[in-house]
Amino acid sequence: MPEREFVGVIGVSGGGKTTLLRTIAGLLPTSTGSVTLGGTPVLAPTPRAAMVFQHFGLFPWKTVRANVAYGLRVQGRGPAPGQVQRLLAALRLDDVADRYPAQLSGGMKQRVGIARALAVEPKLLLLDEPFSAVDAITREELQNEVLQLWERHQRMTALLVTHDIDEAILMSDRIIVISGPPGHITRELPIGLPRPRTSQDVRSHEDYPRIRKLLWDSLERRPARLPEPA
Amino acid sequence: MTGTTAPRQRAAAAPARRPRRPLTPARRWALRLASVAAILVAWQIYGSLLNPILLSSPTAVLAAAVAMIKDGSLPQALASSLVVLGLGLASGVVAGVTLGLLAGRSETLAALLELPVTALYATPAVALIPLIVLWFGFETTAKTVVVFLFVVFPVLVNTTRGVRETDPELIEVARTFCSSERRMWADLILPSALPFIVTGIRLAIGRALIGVIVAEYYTALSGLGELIARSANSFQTARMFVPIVVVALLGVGLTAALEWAERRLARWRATAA
Repeated sequence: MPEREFVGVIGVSGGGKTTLLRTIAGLLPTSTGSVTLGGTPVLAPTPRAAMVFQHFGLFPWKTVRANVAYGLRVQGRGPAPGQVQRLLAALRLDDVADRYPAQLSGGMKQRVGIARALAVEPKLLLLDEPFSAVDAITREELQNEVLQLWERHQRMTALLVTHDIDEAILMSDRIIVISGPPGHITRELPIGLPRPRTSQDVRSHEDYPRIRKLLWDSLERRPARLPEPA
Repeated sequence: MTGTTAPRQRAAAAPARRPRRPLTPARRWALRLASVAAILVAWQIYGSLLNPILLSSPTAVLAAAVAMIKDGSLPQALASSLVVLGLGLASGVVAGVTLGLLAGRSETLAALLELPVTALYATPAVALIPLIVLWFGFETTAKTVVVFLFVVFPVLVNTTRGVRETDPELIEVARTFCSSERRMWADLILPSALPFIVTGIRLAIGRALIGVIVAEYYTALSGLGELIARSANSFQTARMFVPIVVVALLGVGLTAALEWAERRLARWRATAA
């Protein structure tokens, strides 16, 4: 995986996407082969990678501000108030900084999750279906925001696991399709759409239908057998 | 979805039924006092119809209480019982929380503790009192041990449970951010075990009060237990009720203090609604 690239992994449920992500994060051991990051193997979680979780994974007893500062604090990098404040502003969380997660909407919770991951300035950002637990409108908003944040500071590699083809096309430089037997990579497709992108111009780009069809075809499993007409 | 909008939507969906609103604090207090007042009035009416030896009445109990405060017997007994209660409750809670936290994190310790704890939790502590007397005598030490045995198990069992119930997703979050085990305790395990620990202590308060009276009955007669026993033996029913009411008030007071402490420690839950 080249550095500073945004890689999308798509596949059907139970196809091994999340397993791949968790292995890269160092949460699961590899059965064969190895995961390396910047040349060193990943055997346990590393501070160079940060993860955004599907179900947010926020600490309910910490305020928004404390949740965002969490990574920095456990890694002994001080409270870094400036850094936290900057991220709170970038993700439009300043107004709720002293609230608790239970007082936030799903979209706001995931903004906190994203800010917390970005706060540790990871080399590798892991996104585990980060927008699947929020409503469609919020999802599009968040996709655009993450895209902007990432395009503005293109210092990190990002790996997005999703089952949403459009989301993968919108965000990725390259898409890996996992289908068939679990963990099997069936296709790797570079996405040459120009950056910076927004969901609007990606969807109206002339290449969009072709890319979408290609991905859809490579995802498709054997068609379900319909019952014979009587 | 925030908590504030949810009830409104439910109301719109079912306009025929009024949404169940939480009681206002003033209303809740009114209801609490009303139930106590009803009990007192019923006791007063029924008590004055009967022989005072059989039931007595709230006014007679109040008069007896004033007399017992004046002659110093109540304060003295209360002080003696509070020492036993304080020592037994504190040592039981400290031991229960400590062992419970360790057992929650260590499979080995949990396996070692499981059968003895279950067995002792189920054994009536009263049955062990002859043995405790042999080991610790009749005085404060023995009484403290009795209270300790009443207290430690519910705290231990609930604490272990609380540690076990820590959200696995949050443990995963802590691991991806490379949290040390020590930090994981502060950030994650203690906050999520807290409600369970409080439940354990709440149970323990009730059991500790039983333990104090039982200990005072079955070792050297002393404290509030002695007042109850001596008044009952001499058919002074009004005087007998005074220490019983004091024990009940202690239970209510300690539980209220615990709830106050929990609200202070878990502000995030109070504001979540």
